[in-house]
Formats: sequence, C-alpha cells, structure tokens
Amino acid sequence: MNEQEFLARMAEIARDGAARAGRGLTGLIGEEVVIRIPEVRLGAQRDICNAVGGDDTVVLGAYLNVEGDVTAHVMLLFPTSKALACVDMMCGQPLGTASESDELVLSAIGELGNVVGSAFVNALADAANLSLHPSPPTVVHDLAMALVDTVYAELLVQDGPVLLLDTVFEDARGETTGLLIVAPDPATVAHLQELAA
Amino acid sequence: MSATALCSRVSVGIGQIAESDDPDTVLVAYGLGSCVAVALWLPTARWAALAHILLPNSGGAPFDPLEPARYADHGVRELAERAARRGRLSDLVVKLAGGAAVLGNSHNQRFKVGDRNAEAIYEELRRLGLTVAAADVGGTQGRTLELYVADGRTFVRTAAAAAREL
Repeated sequence: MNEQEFLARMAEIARDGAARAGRGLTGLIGEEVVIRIPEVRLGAQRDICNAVGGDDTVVLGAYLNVEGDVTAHVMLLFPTSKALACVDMMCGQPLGTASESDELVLSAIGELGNVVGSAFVNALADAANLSLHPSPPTVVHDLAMALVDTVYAELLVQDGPVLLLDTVFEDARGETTGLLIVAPDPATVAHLQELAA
Repeated sequence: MSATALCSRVSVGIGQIAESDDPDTVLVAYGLGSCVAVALWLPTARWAALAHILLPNSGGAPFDPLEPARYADHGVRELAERAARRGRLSDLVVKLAGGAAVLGNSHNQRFKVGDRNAEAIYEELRRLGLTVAAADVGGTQGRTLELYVADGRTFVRTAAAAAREL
C-alpha cells in the first residue's frame, strides 16, 4: 500500500469517525452537529496551530491517550472563546455565561472530548478489527503550539513517520469550531498499513 | 509607539535555529511544550541566537542542516559553533525555557520528553564548558520565549501568565 492509498484509507476511517462523533454530539447537545474533514495529511503540525488561530493561540480542549492492540493520541482543541461558546450551548445557557475558570466548564470540555475522541477511536478499531482503549480525557488549557509540539515529539521519539489527521467541525449555526487531531503512533501506522493492504 | 512595537519578530520553528545582530529584531520560540528553547546572548558582539529543540539525543543520526535543532546534542553544538565565530564562548549568556509536560504528569511518565530534553541540553552545555544564567523549565504549562537582540533580554509567557523577564 503506497502513501496515497494509506492516506485515502485513513480519510475513510476519519469520515466514519466524524459521522459517529456528529451523532454523539448531536445527542449530547440536542442540536445537529456537522463535522467536516478537509484533509488528511502526514506531518504538518504547523497547519494545526494555524487552524486554531496561529502560534500564540490559547486553546481549551481534551486529550485522550489510546492503548490496546495499537496506540494513538487524540486531541480535541478549541480556541478558548469557542470552547466557552460550546459549553454554553451544551448547557443550554446564554452565550457569554461560561467562564474558563469554572470547574463545570472544564468538566464539560472533558466530556465533549470523550464523546468526539471515542467516536474516532471506535471507527479506527472497527475498521482495523482492533481492541482499543481510550484513556479518560485530560482537560488541556494551554498554548496550541505547546500541545501539538509535545504530541509531535512523542511520535518522533519513536523514530517513525508521523500521521496527523486534522478535522474541523462546526455546529449547524457555525458557532462551535474546533479541531480534532488523531495521531496514531508510528508502530500503529505500520500495523494499519499491514491490515489495510 | 514603543520601541518594542517597531521590532521585527522572527519565529523560530521546531528544530530550527535563528541568529541575528540586528538590534530591531526579536527572536521568538512560540508554544514550547516538551520542546526547549536555548537562548544565547553575546554582549561583546551584541549578537543573539535561539534554538527550538525538539528531542533529547540524536543517537548517532547525522546532522541535518535543514533541521539543525531537531536534537539537543546537535542543536547546542551548532549554537556554540555559530557563537564561536562571533566571540568567546566564555562571554556567552545562556538561558533556557520549555520542557513542560503539557498533557499532564501522569501521561508524561511514558516518554518524559520534556525532562529528557532539558537534561540533554544541560549535559551538552556542560561538555562545552557553558553554564546556564537562567532557566524556566519543567512544570505542566507551555511557554513562549522572546529574545531581544538589542540587549539580550529574554521574556517568558504562558497561557495563564503575562510575560516576565527571565
């Protein structure tokens, strides 16, 4: 399987994950959520920072570490203002109510990451017939670049190719825009290539 | 308008090194997570350099001029070579920032990339006889480091805190 075929296969899995995540979020929020996948790429960590607003953007989101037959990193990131708007929607409260110092907000973001991240992990598990176990979500509130550089370093420390799937998703009113990153580690990429061949 | 506003900011990306003797330039390493920035200032030449180091050790991998600071050992040696062309290494002021566990300490137990980056940099600096004047490393918060070429001042800021001088 060449690189192009592999990326096409991963895009297919990502689309399935996006559909599941959309259904999960729709159920959670009570409004239709649309998830788009503009591109599946190798590397390109800088593009992820740009997608959430640039080098200096502070993001709020959730991180899941996936263990099992293979391992992967999953992160759902929002620019802080978008995260707060999303929590207001989830809680059915007026926009501008949620505050980043509120424990409930952090908990809601963690749950959001759990729903969306798990949808992708399940799509990956089903497509490749794998047993995968996502960790409980870790809520992250930091510089986008710092989060991306850490995942990137951990993948590279294993001395292999890096695959990053980035996904922009929005609700029906376009009020919640976030970014989902699914980064299987290099051993996982090789395993998936074998399975998909 | 302040003097700072007139400065041109040069972003030093992951694995890269930038140097300058232009007093109107600020070298910046944005969003350091487990990465560590090594900032050099040579007052005798009013010269500054900044490396954005990604990983601890090259393990014998060849030096890549397109990514000179991918590894701590390569990056620090390259910085020292560039500094030696400008003056004496003993005059260098060395500062570090980064090496955080931004995904939480429990997650960090797996690879400890941030800790290992900082350790590898300290070790390489020691080998070259260089000491660190100031450092802000470790913890769980990402950082952005700015190095002012005009006077060698460095500032670190996080998502939660405004810039403070290092």
